[in-house]
This record gives sequence, C-alpha cells and structure tokens, in this order.
Amino acid sequence: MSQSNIEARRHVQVLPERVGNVAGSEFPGHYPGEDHSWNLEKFKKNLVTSVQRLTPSTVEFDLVGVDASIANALRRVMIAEVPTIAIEEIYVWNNTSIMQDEVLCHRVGLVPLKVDPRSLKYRPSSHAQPHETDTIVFDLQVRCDKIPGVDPKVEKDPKKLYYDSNVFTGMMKWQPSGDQGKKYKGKAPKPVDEDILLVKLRPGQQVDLHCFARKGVGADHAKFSPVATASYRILPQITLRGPIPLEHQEKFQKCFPPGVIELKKDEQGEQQVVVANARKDTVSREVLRHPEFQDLVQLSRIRDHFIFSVESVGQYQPEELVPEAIKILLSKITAVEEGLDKLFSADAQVA
Amino acid sequence: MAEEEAPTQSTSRLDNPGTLLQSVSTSLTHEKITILPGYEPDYSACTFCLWQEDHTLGNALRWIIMKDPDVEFCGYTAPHPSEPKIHIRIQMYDNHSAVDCLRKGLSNLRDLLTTVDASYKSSLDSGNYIKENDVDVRAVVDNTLRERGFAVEGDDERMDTTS
Amino acid sequence: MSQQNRYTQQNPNPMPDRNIPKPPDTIEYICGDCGAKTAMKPSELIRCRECGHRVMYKPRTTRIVQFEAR
Repeated sequence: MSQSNIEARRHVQVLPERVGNVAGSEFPGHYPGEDHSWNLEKFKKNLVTSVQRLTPSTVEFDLVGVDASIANALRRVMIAEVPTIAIEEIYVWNNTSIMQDEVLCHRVGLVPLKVDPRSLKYRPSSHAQPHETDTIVFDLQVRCDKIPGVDPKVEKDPKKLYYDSNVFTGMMKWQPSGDQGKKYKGKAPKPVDEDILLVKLRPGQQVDLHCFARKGVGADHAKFSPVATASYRILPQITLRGPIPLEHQEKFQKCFPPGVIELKKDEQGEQQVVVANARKDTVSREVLRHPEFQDLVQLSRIRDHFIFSVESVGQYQPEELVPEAIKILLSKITAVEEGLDKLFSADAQVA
Repeated sequence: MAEEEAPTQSTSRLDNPGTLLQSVSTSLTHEKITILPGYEPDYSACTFCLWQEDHTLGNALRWIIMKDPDVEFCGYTAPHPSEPKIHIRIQMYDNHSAVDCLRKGLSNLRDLLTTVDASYKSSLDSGNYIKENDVDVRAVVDNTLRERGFAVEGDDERMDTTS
Repeated sequence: MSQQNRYTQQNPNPMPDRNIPKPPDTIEYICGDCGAKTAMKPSELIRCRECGHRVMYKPRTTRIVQFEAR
C-alpha cells in the first residue's frame, strides 16, 4: 500500500454536490496485511491535543488522532451531562409586575448561577425535601416607587423618576442555611452576570420571590447546560493539483475567506498561489463553482483532526469543562462494569 | 431553611418531563446492564441492554469494540427515544466470549480517555497558546451604533435604551 | 351498663362549634382607572368611590404560589 493511499484514507472528500469517504474504515480485517486492532501505545503516539486559544469564557483546542465517536462523546457530555446549579422551584409571595408568574419564574430559572457544582449533591428525588447539602436559596425582593421631588412633567427617564424600575439578576440575594455560610465563605453564591434584566416595574409594583436552586444536567433542562456552545469542526485541507494561471490567481484567492490563500513569488520570481492557512477556510466550496479551477484544486477535511470550541456559561472555568466531561465518561464506564459484575454474580448464585 | 415553608399549593408534577423520567426509573428499578434473550449459551453472540445510556457511550463503545480483532460484528441501537436505554450487539469469532470483549472494550475506552485527559492537561499546562480577553460585545455594539449615527446609552443624558 | 346505654352518647363534653368561615362583608377591589382601593359589598353597585369608574379589579392573592422554573 502506497503512502499516499494511506494518507488519502484520512481525508473526507468535499465535492461540489456531496461529501465522500465520510466513515473511517481502519478496523481489523478491513485492509489485508494491516493491523488496526486497538493499541494504546500507538494511540498515545498519534494523539495530539493542543490548546489554541483561551479566554475567560472560551477554550479552543485541537484534538487529533481520535475517532469521531470519541470527539462526539466529549461534545455531548459537555452539553448535556456536566452538572450545574440552577433555580428549579420558586415560591411567589407577590408579583404585581405585568409579567405573569410562570413567565417570570421561567426567566429566573434560566439565570446562570456562580456556584461550584462540585460543592452540592444531587437531590435524592424530585419530591425530596430540600436540604442544605443539595439546595441553594435565593430571595428576590424588589419594589418600585416614585423618587420624591422629581417632576414627571420635566423628567421622562424612568430611571430618574422611579426607584428600581428595572429588576436585574444582581438584586438576587443568597440566603445561606445551616453550614452554608461557612462552606461558601469568600465565594458566596450569586448569578454569573449581575446585569441581566428580568422584568421592569412601575411605581407600586413589586416582585417577591423565594427561589430554590438545585443541581441538574443539561439532558433534563437546557438551563443546566454549562456551555453556551461546545462544538467541533474538522480541519479543512486545500490541495493544489497544478499551478493556477496568473490571470486567475486573484479570483482564486477571493474564492476563500481572507488569509487562506496567499500569492507569493517563487524562486524563479513568478507569482504562485500558496495555501497559507486552510484552518481559516469555511469550506464554502465557492472555488468548485468555477470551471477553470475544477481540475486544479481538491477540497477535503482531515477526518481525525477536530477543532473544538467550547464556550462556558460561567459556572465552570472554560478549561475545566473537558476534564469534567472525561470524568463523567469514566464514571459511565465504571457504572457499566459494576453492572456487569452484579449481573454475573447474580448468575453465579442462580447456577 | 425550606422545611418550614410547606408549599400551600402543590402544582401538578405530571407534565414535568424530568419527573416523568424519574418516575419511570423509580417505579421500575432497572439493572444497569442485562443480556437480552436469544444469546448464544457460550456468550459468543450477545445483545446487551444498557439502561440510562445513549449515543454518547453507545457509539464510543461500538467503535472501541470494533477495534478488537476477535469481533465479527458490533452494532448499537437506541430502540425508542422515550426509553433511556441502548442495545449493543456483539458477535465474536471462534466462540470467544462477548462479555469478556465488552469488559475489554470498557477498559480500553478508559485507557483512551485517561490518555486524552493527560494530553489535554499537559497542553494546558504548557501555556503555549493565545491568552486573551473576550470580545467586549457591548463596546462593539455601541461603536457600531455611533458609526451609524444612532444614540448610545450613556453618551446622551436624555437617552435611555433600556427603560 | 344496660344495652341501651351502649348505643347512646356518653360524653358530657360539648361539641366544638361548627366553624363555618363567614364571607367577609366587604371585599376590596382596585379601580381600573385611578387605582384607588374600594371595599364593596356583594350587592353594591360596582363603582369606584373616587372617580366613578365602573371597571374594578381583584387584588392579587396574598397566598404564596409555587412554580417550577422551567
């Protein structure tokens, strides 16, 4: 088997009307004379994980050398199974705002809370009484009134006319119970963002809510998902199969987003088209629409090169999300293994 | 804390999908894993039923089991979207045990994930990447508004875009 | 103890009064126009004492209501 053919296996073809060679085929018995059985040493050698960019909310990293099923498992766990804390039940003592109770409660439930999810247990069942080890309590008590001495005929700005005409998440007050005051010393639970507008009030209106937050997962409700987005794309590759004629070079360059294609002088002083950064390509396939480029370029993607982009909502640091997801996947494996142990110990007893 | 304040009005919980899931799993306690009827007596071909699992583990497990040269066939299915379970079928060559193969697959998957974890952490520790602040979306929006001649909150005393 | 006594009431203590909650004589309403509170009897003409407006609203319940934040 020639080296180029083996390299071609890593490529997902991007054709004008379809994608080709999508599924990987490197399984034992598929290619005669090749060993594709699971080999940890080989995997370790081929695996590349490289963080590309880290901001207070986002991490971007490359994961090279794993199958799509593994990359997808990581992505799915980050979205749906890494737990966070969110408000689940609300006792409405009063709400005379124009927003209906259920709409207001829904909004309050969606507020991301800055509480370390690892510091709280799951509630044993949804009917269980709240306990200080599994529940965080917030109060939201806001009343709007006229500010005395401001003439409404002159002043039209509600913020200068009334006290608290806007209810923000920053007005939610944590109510520690039991040992929580000690447990959360210096890291008091609070909303991630204090400037989310919940509802607007006018004089005489008030909102008085008592909120219970618990631990949950995104699979149950999206408000528990710790990521705004966790996604991956597969690294694009642009292969030039021949020189692009000088008169078409600029047009060729414009078929791609800025920075993908560069025009450079070669040793002979002739201007040539060079692929500078295929990563920036959006794979729009614009270049394939032009007959003059059809045989000169081949678009593809590297099947096992995943470019992850994970944006945290704020409950976790963005770089913590991948290790948390791996922890949860490992616990799933352990759960199945324990299930197998139980299944066969039961079998042995029957026999 | 909350115990003192018994709810005066208990809302119906039946229409809550979370509780529905819970009620299904509490009224009928399922074993995590069972072997479906019709397996070979020597376990050389089995369909396993995994409760509370989905494509997340199903597809990853299927892939790692297919990497085993003793496996003739491995496939998985989520039979119905409202049942939180998957079926994994494993057929072995030469009367090997599918149960042993599943155990090996699980342990290989654990090795794989620990490797990825270690590799990710070492890349993170290397510090060899771009560290920057988030885009200040509000500033960008305000600038765009100014460029297009719209009023921006804070610029003009009389203007209030939020109230 | 005679047969008859077995089937008649023995307890000398009086029964507590039947506690039928009396509907309040007047119920407070909020004027739809001026917002003033007016206490009204069931038979009374529905009309605000302050401004004469004839659309009145019931105030919000004072009981707490539980909601799921979903």
